[in-house]
Amino acid sequence: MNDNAKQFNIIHGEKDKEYEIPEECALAEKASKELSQDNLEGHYRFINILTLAVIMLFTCIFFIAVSGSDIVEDNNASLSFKTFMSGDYTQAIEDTYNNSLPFPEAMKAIEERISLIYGIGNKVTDPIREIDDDTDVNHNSFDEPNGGDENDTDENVITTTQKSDNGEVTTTKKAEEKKKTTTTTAIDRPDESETSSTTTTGSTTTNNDKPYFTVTTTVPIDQPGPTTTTTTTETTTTTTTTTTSEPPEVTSSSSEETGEVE
Amino acid sequence: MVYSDLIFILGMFPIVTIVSLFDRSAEYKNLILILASLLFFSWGRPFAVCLIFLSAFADWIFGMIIGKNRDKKALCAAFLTIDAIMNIGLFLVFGHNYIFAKFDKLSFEAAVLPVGIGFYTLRGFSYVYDVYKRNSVYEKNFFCLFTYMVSFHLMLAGPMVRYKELEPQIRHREITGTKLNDGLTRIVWGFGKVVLLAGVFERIKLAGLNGREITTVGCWLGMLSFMAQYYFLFTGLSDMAKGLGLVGGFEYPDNYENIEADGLFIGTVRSFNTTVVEFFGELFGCKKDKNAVLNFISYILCGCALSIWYEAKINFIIVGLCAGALAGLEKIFLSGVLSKLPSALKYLYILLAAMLIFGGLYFDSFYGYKKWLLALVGVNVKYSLSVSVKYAVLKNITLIAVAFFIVFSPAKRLFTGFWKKLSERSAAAYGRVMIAKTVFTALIFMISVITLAAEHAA
Repeated sequence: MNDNAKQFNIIHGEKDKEYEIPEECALAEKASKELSQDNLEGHYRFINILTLAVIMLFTCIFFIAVSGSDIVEDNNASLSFKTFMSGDYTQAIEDTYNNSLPFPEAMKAIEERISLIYGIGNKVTDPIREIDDDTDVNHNSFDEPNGGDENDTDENVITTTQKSDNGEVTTTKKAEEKKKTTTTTAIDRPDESETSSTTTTGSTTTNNDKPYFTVTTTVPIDQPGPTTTTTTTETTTTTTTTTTSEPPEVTSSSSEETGEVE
Repeated sequence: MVYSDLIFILGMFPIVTIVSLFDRSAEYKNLILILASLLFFSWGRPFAVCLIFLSAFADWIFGMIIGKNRDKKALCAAFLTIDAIMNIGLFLVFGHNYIFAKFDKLSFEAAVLPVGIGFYTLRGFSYVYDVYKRNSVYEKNFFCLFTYMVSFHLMLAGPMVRYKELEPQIRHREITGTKLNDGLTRIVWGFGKVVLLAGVFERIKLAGLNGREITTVGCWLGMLSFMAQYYFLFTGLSDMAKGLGLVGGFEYPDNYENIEADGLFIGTVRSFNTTVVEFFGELFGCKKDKNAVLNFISYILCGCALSIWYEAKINFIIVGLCAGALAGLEKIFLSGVLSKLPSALKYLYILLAAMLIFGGLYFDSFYGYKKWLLALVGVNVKYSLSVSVKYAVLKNITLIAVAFFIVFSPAKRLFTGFWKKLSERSAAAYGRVMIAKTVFTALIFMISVITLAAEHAA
């Protein structure tokens, strides 16, 4: 053990121990760097703890203090042995807490603005959490249809609904006339899942998708009365069916089918 | 109550943390932890739920009987069996109560059912099993075992840490600056995963699989999102659990792993709920080098048991059997063949295997699964992409990119490597990187809180 090491141990009152103090060598520099790095890490660790703790505590106090409602009065659940054991009291506290969060409208507005950075196409008036009209949480397209259940829908089947004069609605599925299932590329149809058109005879054709254009077939009525004019507009993908007169005694029906042109 | 509830993250957690810092002794911290755990589980539920914790007393007694009578193997085996039956019974009655729907006496309202009973019963059994297997000594102090059993840190997403690993920390632990720092950061990142990322994938899943229009891309993205949703939900809760432990002075093992190409399908299964998979693997002898047929059967049984642990439904059991079979095949010979493939193909294999097998978890019937499989290749579908799926993806593309960097290991390594390299340039650069990390973590916390608050306001 060299003199420097001895001197170090003597200063620290540990004469028997033999700590080697590297002097002016690579090891000393390495030890110095490690110590410096430890200090640096400790410094930023402290900043991180302080920042997160302050933000958490501030948010915690803000959410409690600003809401400031009376738990007992709001929920009619006073603290008693019975309400505590039954879980009613704690549930009431949670309900009150969630229902009285501070500035709910401001929170929604901020969240909408934050959602702008989540991706493309988010709008302030269109919160991302809003479920698309085409999406139904309870609907599962892959559920097995129950045998004979008419409520089951096959998205490829063309369904024709006819309303008679006495108000009866008849729905007919044309299973044999399924839409083409050819795969296409992405489509952009701003108004999804609309129920299309009615005609003077009360015939409605329902399809799950708005077609590119609608082909309307009007069956000429073999009696004096209404005159029907059909206009098919391909570019705007809409169909206009106009009936010039509407005598109440019309009994024959016309059907309108929608189809998709690939 | 769950970790991602506002009342937990902004109410219970700060209060419990501050109160537990009042005294340095482990006994005091254990007492606070037990009281907080009882409150956590009785929150909004009848306090009678906490009576379930009495089973911890039974575990303690059984462990002691086995520990004191090691020579009497028959007696030890009998008590291990009794303990297994007790825990399985508790787990089925309170964890999978839906299977008792026909029996009035055993069918409870959802509000009565405790959360995390699966992890709780597994811990109870693992303690007695370890004592039986002489992996651990029996515990004389009931409150030490009780702390291990009821700790709310371990209840929602594990990890399924063994008593012998935790026992020294229960008796003595310290809360250091490093632990506080890592713990808080971990909690915030986990919170962000649950609130922001899991929510995004839920919306894409709904658009892809629950929409009225079945499309090819929707089926692919919907199923990927279904798996991603649960991955981020679980890993987020797991991160929060680990963070809560660190803030409380505990050091738990990670309960999930990165999905690596070399890990193949077995690695992917292990990447989710790692500690539970390892425990079941040990229970069914999957690690032992034995006859190939027996090993294969072990994997199948392990997969089946794991799936029942998650959900006692027929589709889960079938998925468990298939996953076990593929894992067994990989163990026997397939891994030797697949390991020669390039990484990209390995990832493709993992993706396809995981989708085809775990996709079964989503469908209640084979009809739906078959319809989905056909839709994947464009059979019986009208379009390749629906508007709702397109918008669900585009509106969340930034968050999807973040999720990709978290899940895809090479991208994650590239990203973390870049920041590490940057921070190593100089002390000032290190400082800038650390400050950026702190600001980003704080932002995630604020955004997550605002998102949850906005959800409640809506």
